[in-house]
Amino acid sequence: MRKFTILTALSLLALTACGHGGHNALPSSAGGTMPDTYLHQKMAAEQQRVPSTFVAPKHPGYIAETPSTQVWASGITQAGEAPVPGGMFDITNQYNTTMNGRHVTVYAGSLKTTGAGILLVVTRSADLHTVNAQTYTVASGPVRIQSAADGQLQLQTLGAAHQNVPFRLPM
Amino acid sequence: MQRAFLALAAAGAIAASAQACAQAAPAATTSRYMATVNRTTLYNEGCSMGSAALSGVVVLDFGEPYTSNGTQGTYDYGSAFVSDSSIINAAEGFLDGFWNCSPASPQLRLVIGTSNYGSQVSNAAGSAWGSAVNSLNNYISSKGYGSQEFARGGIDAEPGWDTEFSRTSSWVDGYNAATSYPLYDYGSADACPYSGYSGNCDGWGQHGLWYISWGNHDGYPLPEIYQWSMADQWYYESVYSSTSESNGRLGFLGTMTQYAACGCGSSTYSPSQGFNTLQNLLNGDSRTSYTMSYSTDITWAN
Repeated sequence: MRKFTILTALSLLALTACGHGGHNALPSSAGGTMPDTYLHQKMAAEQQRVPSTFVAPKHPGYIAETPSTQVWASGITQAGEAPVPGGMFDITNQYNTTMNGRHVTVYAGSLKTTGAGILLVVTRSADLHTVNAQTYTVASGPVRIQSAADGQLQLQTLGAAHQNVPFRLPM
Repeated sequence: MQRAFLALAAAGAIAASAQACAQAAPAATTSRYMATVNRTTLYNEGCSMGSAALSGVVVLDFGEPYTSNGTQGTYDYGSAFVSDSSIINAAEGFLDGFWNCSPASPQLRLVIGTSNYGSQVSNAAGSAWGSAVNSLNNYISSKGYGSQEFARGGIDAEPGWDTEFSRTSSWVDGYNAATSYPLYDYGSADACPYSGYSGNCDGWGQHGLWYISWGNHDGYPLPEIYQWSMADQWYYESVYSSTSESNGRLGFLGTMTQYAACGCGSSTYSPSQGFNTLQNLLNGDSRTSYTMSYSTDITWAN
């Protein structure tokens, strides 16, 4: 009996250690948790699949890719969602070009945490399989791309005093 | 001897308990920010996953909703307009590739994803997205892939991109009206409450976030977890749902990380860190405990 008690206590101790315990201001649970019927029903519904009337044969193997004929965008555009969390950056505008056979997209804006002006430069190989991305802090406040030519960007700060900031793409 | 046995047994009990609470994160799949709708490219991506015999969720994120000359589509990460029909065609390539290259057991949940970014997030766009998911499931059925493949819709819903909330909820309602296939919310809980922070989710409130991720008929959360505060925000959201809404805790499918895309090193969670952080927060509270199933990491490479 005593052995059992010790083992049980130690096990409970270990299980208790799984808790995080850092939430002193949680919403009240006075109302208790709702029954889990809805949860179970909904997760069962998530399993919904199409009726499988037959099973297709398999023909394993990759397909040889032909060179992409995709026309890459070029120029400055005002909008466009950046492939980054919205909680991290405010994007002002973007610039697309092709340099040395690589596709380049430059997103201009600011960091949400500090407000600093940033550029996010995303470079893709022509087949889109290889990607490099780098951020650059270029001003103390938000920036936009004003003009671009031959890898040279002219940025403008969005504060009260518009300042021009040159930036050369690192290619 | 008896004492030694007791000590060993106790140690074993502790180890077993610790193992039970430290559930191993599932193998992470690769999701992608899409810059192409080339069917062959996507076929090979599906084949690559199938060859690895990986099961799980894959999100193909095609960017913000966009309409061109009356045609529904998105503005993808190659800064090009791509129609919904071209997205369907590309996703079919992925389904073909996975089917052909996988052994008989792995299960794929292929999610075509968009976002609530921009001015063209609308009921019509949501409806068209739901129809696209229907088309993909019909394709799975007609090709005989149903034993291993599921097609799902997805939205990267971020409060900061639509602080008025109405465009996002309208999109979700349009999706629900068009299909009953699940809608995965792989978005964020920007500016929502977490330990030591009281926020209003950029105007959505926790109720708004609940509706988009779980409260709507088709909704399931697969949240972005890039750092601890994001996990804590979703844990708080589940506490809110459990105590203040009518349908209990959130049924998280899993987590999305951005380790491959960001290249931020230790400043962003690895897939297992993101998964385990949220899982431990959920399981540390009886109001939110739930065992998640999936882990996916998003990359910019296509």
